[in-house]
Formats: sequence, C-alpha cells, structure tokens
Amino acid sequence: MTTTAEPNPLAEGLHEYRVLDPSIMVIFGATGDLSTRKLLPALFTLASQRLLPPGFAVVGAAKDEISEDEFRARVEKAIRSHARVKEVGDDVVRSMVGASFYQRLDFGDTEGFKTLRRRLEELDEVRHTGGNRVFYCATPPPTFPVIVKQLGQAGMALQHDQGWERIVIEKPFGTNLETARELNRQVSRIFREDGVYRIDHYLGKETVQNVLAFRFANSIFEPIWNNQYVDSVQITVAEELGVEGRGGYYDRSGALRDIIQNHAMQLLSLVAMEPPIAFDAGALRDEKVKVLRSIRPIVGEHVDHATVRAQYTRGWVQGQEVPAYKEEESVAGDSKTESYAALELRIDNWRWAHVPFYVRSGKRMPKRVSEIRVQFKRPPHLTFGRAATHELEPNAITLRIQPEEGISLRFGAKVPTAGIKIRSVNMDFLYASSFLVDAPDAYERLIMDCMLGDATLFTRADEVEAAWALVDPIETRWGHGQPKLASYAAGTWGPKEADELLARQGRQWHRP
Amino acid sequence: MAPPVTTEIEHPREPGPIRVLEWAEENTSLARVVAELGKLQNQFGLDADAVREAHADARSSVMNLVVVADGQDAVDWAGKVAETMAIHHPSRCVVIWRQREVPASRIDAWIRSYDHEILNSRLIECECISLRVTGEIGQHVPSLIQPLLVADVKTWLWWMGTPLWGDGSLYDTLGVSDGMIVDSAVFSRPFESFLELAKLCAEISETTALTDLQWTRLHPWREMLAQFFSPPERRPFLRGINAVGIDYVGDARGNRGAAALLAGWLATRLGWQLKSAFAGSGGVVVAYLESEHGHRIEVAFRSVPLGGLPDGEVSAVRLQAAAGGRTANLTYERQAGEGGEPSQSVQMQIELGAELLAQTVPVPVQNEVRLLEHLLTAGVRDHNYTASLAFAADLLRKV
Repeated sequence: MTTTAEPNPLAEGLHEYRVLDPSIMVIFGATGDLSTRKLLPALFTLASQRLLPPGFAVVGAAKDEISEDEFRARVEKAIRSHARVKEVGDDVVRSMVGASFYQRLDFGDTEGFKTLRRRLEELDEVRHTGGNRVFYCATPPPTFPVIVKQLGQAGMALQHDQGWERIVIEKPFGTNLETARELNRQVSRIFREDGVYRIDHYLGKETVQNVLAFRFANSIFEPIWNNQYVDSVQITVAEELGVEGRGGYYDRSGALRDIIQNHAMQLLSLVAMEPPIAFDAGALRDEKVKVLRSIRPIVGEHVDHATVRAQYTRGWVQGQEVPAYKEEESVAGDSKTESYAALELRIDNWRWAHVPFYVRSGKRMPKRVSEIRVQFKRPPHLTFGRAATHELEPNAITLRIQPEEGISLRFGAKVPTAGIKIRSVNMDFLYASSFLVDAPDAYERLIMDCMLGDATLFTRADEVEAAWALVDPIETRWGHGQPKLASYAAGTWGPKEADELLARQGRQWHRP
Repeated sequence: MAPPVTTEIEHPREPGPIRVLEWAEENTSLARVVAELGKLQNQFGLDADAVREAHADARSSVMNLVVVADGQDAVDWAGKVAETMAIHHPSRCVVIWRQREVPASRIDAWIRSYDHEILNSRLIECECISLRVTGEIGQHVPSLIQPLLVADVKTWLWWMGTPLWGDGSLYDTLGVSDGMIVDSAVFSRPFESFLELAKLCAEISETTALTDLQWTRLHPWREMLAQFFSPPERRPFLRGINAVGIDYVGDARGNRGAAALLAGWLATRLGWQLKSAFAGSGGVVVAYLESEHGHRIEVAFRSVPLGGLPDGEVSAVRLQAAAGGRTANLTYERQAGEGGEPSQSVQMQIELGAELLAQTVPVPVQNEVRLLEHLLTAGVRDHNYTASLAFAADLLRKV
C-alpha cells in the first residue's frame, strides 16, 4: 500500500536527492556470492552517500547455520573488501553492520517464513520502517518460485495491510518462453506486476542509459535515425574471458540465452525504439516491447541463413594461451553449446524496414567491449571522384557502452595535401573526459530505483516473454544441429561463418 | 585574505599530471600570454607524437574557472585547487591577482599547462594561467580574462576571500561570467559582508548565478532533515515543527551566516514568516517565526567550540515537532573527533513516540575541491539559496 501525500517541500532543489521510504531489505541467499560481492557493498555505498533512509535495515536470509554476529562479521568483510567507496570511517561501517540482521531460513519451510515475518514486524517497530519491504532473490533461479510462494503463504505480500512490498528477481528469468511464462504466472499470483523488479544489471549501467540521452536529448540525430539514412546497425557484446568457473551453468545456457536474449536485446530495443512520451516505467517499457514485437521471427530453415553459432578453440587472448571451450572446467567434452552467437535481425516497422541489425556476442574474444554501431549509407554521389575518396568509409556513429564509454562519429575530411583526397576521421567523445565523476555501480542505481518504486530500468513480464519468443525458435533449430556449430580460435572476433553472414550482403563486421 | 579553510588537497582518484609545461614572464603583455599558451599546446602535441603517440585533448574542457586572488599564497592555492579539480572537471583556470597598491601598469604572467591521464591512457590537457597585474590594468579584469577563456563553455568566477563590495570591477567581471562563487565562511567582517552578499544577490541579473561554498557545506544537513520527512506519514510533522536549534562553531557571536542560511532554508521552504529576533550573549540568537497556519516556531542559534572545523560551520541541528498526538525529536550532531580533528560523521537520533533510533550518518568535512565539484556538478544557480540568503540577511539585520 502506498500513501499519497503532498511533495516534501524540503526535498526540492536538493542535488541528486531522491525520496526513499524507510524500509527493510530481505536478501534471500545473503551469504552467497552476489550478496557478498555486489548487494551488500552497493548498499554500503548508498549508505555512505546518505542515500539510504534513516532506519533502513538489511535482513539476511539463508540456509547457513550462522549466528547474527557471524553474519554481521560477513557483512563487514563484504563491505571492506568490495565497496566502491573506501574512504568512510569505521563508525559508518559499524552503523551499517549494526543495521544488518540474520534469519536462518530453509526456503522450503513455511514456518521459517512465518518466523521471518514476525522478525520483520519487530524490526518495523524499532526502526520505524512502516512495513515497507524489498525481497531480493539472490539465489539460484530454481528457488525463485519457491520463495515467491512461501512469501505468499506467510502473508508477506498483497495481504500486507501497511507499507509496500517489492520483489527483485535476478536474471535468467526462465530458460525459455514456457518457463518464463510459468514463472510470471507464479509471481503474479503473489505480487502485483508493479511490485516485481526483474533485474538485468546491464540496464543499470550509466552508459546504457546514455543511449537514451544521446537519442532523445539531442535533436540532430533523431531525423537521421531511420532507414532513409541508416544502412545497418551492429551490436557487439564481447568478452575476453572464458566461462571462469561458471562452466556448469554456461554449458546449459550458451551465448544466445546468457547474453543475446537479455543484454543484447536490451541494447537493440533502446537503439531502435520510438521516442517514449516520458522517461518512466510504463512509457519506456511500452516502446521497448513494441520493438521486440516488431522483430521478424527467425524460424525454421531461415535460422540456418540468419544465425551463426560457434565455439572457441585454443588460442591466445591478451598474451595468454587459453584452452578450448570444451577443455574448460565443468564443460562437457562433447558440448554443443555455443560460446559465440551472431544473428541478423530485421525490424518490421516504418522506421527500420530493410535495415539489418547484426547482433553478436562471444566469449574469448580479443577484448571486452560492448557497443552499438550505426552505419550510415554512402553519399548518393561522389563529388570528389572515386580516386579521391577510395579511403573514405561511410559515416558511422558508435555508441560505446564499455569499456571506453563514449560516442564516436566517423566522417570524411580532406587530407592536407595539394590535391583533393578525402579520408575518414573519427571525432571521439569520451564520457570520462567530460564527466570525470565516479558513476554509480549498476546495482547501486537499481537497488535505489527499486526502493523508490521506479521500475523504468527493470524488465517487464511482457518484455521478457517477447525476447524469449524470438530466441526460442532459434534454440529449437540449433538443438537439431542446424546450422552446423562453427569454431573460432580464442582471441579472434568469431568464426568465418559470421563474416560470411555479413559478406553475403556486401558488409563486414566493424572491428571494435 | 583569510587563509584557506583546508590546507590539503586530497582525492580518492588523484593521478596527478602526466606532463607539465610551464612558462613565465614578468612585465609582459596579454598578447604574449595568448601566443605562449598556443605554443605550449602545440608542444604538447609534438611531445605526444614522439613519445606517446597520443594527443592530449585540449578541447575537452567543460568550463573556465576565473579566480580572483589576493596575494601569492592565494594564487598558489587557487592553482592547486584548479589542478586537482581538473581531474574531474577538465578546465582552464585563470587566476588574477591585482596589486592595487602599485600604481604603474604591468602584467606578470605564469602559465602551467598539464595533462591528466584518464581512462585507457587518454589525455586531457588543462591550463592554469596566473596574472599579477598592477596599476590601471587591474581595473579592467574582463579585458584580461576574455582572450584567455575557452570558447563556448561556462565561465565561473571564484572570488576568494571577501569580494570588493561596491567596486565597479566586481560587476564588470561578473558581467563576463556565468556565475560567481564565494565562501562566506572566510569573509572578513562576516556580518557586514553577509549583508553585502545578500544585496549583490538581489541586484545582479537573473541570468547570473551566485552561490556560496558555505551553502554547499549545508547540503548534507538539508538532505538529512529532508529525508526524515520523506515518508508520507511523517509529512504532517512539517506543519507541527515547534522548535529548531542550530549550533555553529565559534566563540561568542562569530560568523552566523551558515546558521542563518539553514534557518532561512527551513523558513522559505516551509512558508514561515519572521516575526521577531533577539540576540543574547555567547552568540545566542532567538527568532520567532509563524507558519501560514499561524503556528509559532522558535529558532535558536548558539556558538559552540569544536576543534578542526572553521568558524561558522554548522555542528548540530535539533528539531522538535508534534502532529496528530505524536511527537518527533530529531538531533543531528557532529561531535569532536580524535586528536582535535573533526569527526567525519554525524550522530543522528530520531525519537518518534516512545522509540529512539540512533544511527551514524557519514558527513565528511569537505575541502574546497570537493565543494566546488559539488557545486559544478549540481549547477551553480540555486533559487533555494537566493531565497534562503534573503531571509537570512533579514534575520541577521534584526539582531
């Protein structure tokens, strides 16, 4: 329940001030890696910047048989080891640790959830948190429906008579369309959609949000952001790392499910969407879903022509020899899982008709990079002649998400010689050079948004399902061995089949 | 001028300049300075080609910072602040030191050009140009600074110490700036200067921003107070505030500017009218205000000694409120730290009904670099400040 009230007059004009209600965050799986490395440090950073409300408390809930003191010791260790903000006094650390509590909990035990409920009610009394709750599922995906159901049975959602309750669910949200729909159904029985925060930390990155700022805060780009001027769009999400101890998980997932279904589709929808009427959860996500639904499905034999899947073989990455995918720990020796995927997507709407969107993601590539490259058409007439312009490439705008967050514009310029010779040059803008401030970590931003009740940067149920609906037919065809699983040497930009995918249409991948 | 509030520049990410090129000449001309500035930029490019194959990007400046300093120490300090701040705000700094007591016109100039390495070895070039001017030239500051400004970016004027109230050069320099920054904490004759500041603020154009580092120091206090009232169910307490107590650092009367600004902020945001104000001994001020509903509020200041903090800085705020049969008592208090240093946090106590919540809130003491960064990130123009300043001046005039 949310009480409406007049705006707080004292809040007006305070820089970066955002009104957070006092609340308790329950972290399920609080002793795990995500909580230790990301959530607790992010909460501490928010606290150190005075962004958490007075009385805020964290309740860790996990299976581990540890005492509250032991949990607090872990919280302190997590803060000191991983917090982005290091220069804060011991008294602030102690204050945060003192606001941390622990409840041992077996997720299958209904009584345990009822005990948790009583504990939260006690804390409400002493910390003035008013019954406001964030339930954060930092647990493996199979536990999500169990936790949601238990919260419902313990009367910790919907039946709640005061305050609000929100649940945060980490990706992957389902493993295909069917499981995603089932999970959505289970969650919607217990929580209203506006209380469900499906987190894809990619959207919390400043530079991903900057894609929107670039497009919709400037008037000079939007008129050319369509099929009249754009030849093609390339989206690259590359990692230099291998599976890094996640072999068991990754081998069941692959690049298509792990990256393309979520991160890459998010980038695509942001770059291709129509201008939303407002930067709010409803308007923004409506436009994103429209893009996803406009993507022409790749089904049947078309999968063979419009997709590439590949695995890396041994190679050298950044001066180090690395094993082949099948030689990685916890990866089956006969694995058919792709560590690289490339798709050619078409968006069937007025803006993007006939403009291919090439999306690729892979592991063990030469470097870690995420970027969107918008390639423009060539000039209709070469005024300076072919000889003068043979080094001239078409204009392009590259939106770099990581690591060198920024924007490049490529255009032609005259080489300073006696004659006429045109060459491509890049005009670079680096966010770091103009805004040399430490951007908030994605988790800091998203946790805060969730506590504010702002779901703009979270994924909505229909968005998740629309993305799975695109991916599922490809997975099905790949599961039948079509197209053939290609290979690429670790440390390269992917298999030759991916080059051929573009070459067939007279294009080539941009080298990031 | 009064000594800088903080004498040490520190920053969590302070890589320092990669390369520094300097030039200095006494009895020079501004044309020479402009020419030498260009040469230094070219030199950076040539060095970069040969050694690093990376050009420093001189066009990434986000602002000009013009500093009016009064003495060699202030010039040196301004240069250090600008250099540190350039890590986060690539900028060109122009420091003007006018020796008005010397009659002959003359310009002595120093240029320190440096580049900072940011992500992935990208270089950003910044400069600090210091001019010591004597004689009549000193009356024409705009003519000195305009040729040196980076085009098409904001120009902020930071007047160190106490501005020359009523002097034509102050208005002329403001005329070529987008905004002016002062620090009322270091004003000489703080009471009179504070009133002059309020007068200037009321006189200058709506398009010129004016702000005070002391206002920025109040930001955490305003934030903490606002935060308490954020939950909708606590909003009624805003109409039931009975008493506000503000402690500021100092002996006797001292510099009450910050305390008055904080009271002014509460009053203007909550629609309180000043009815009367009285001064007592030991820096005590008691003011009576009235809300638009006729509710009476008592606001009291007092000075307290607290080592390590500059005079005038707010050290505690207490607030009492009642609504719907409930009471709320808030206390935010910075206590003395260890070894005479101020604590970097504030002890918060919230008494809501029978329950008492105590918590430590981080409120680091900020140096000029941090304060300027905050101002420049947030934007210098702040109508809340203008309104609070007008109210604060009115209050101080009455006691």
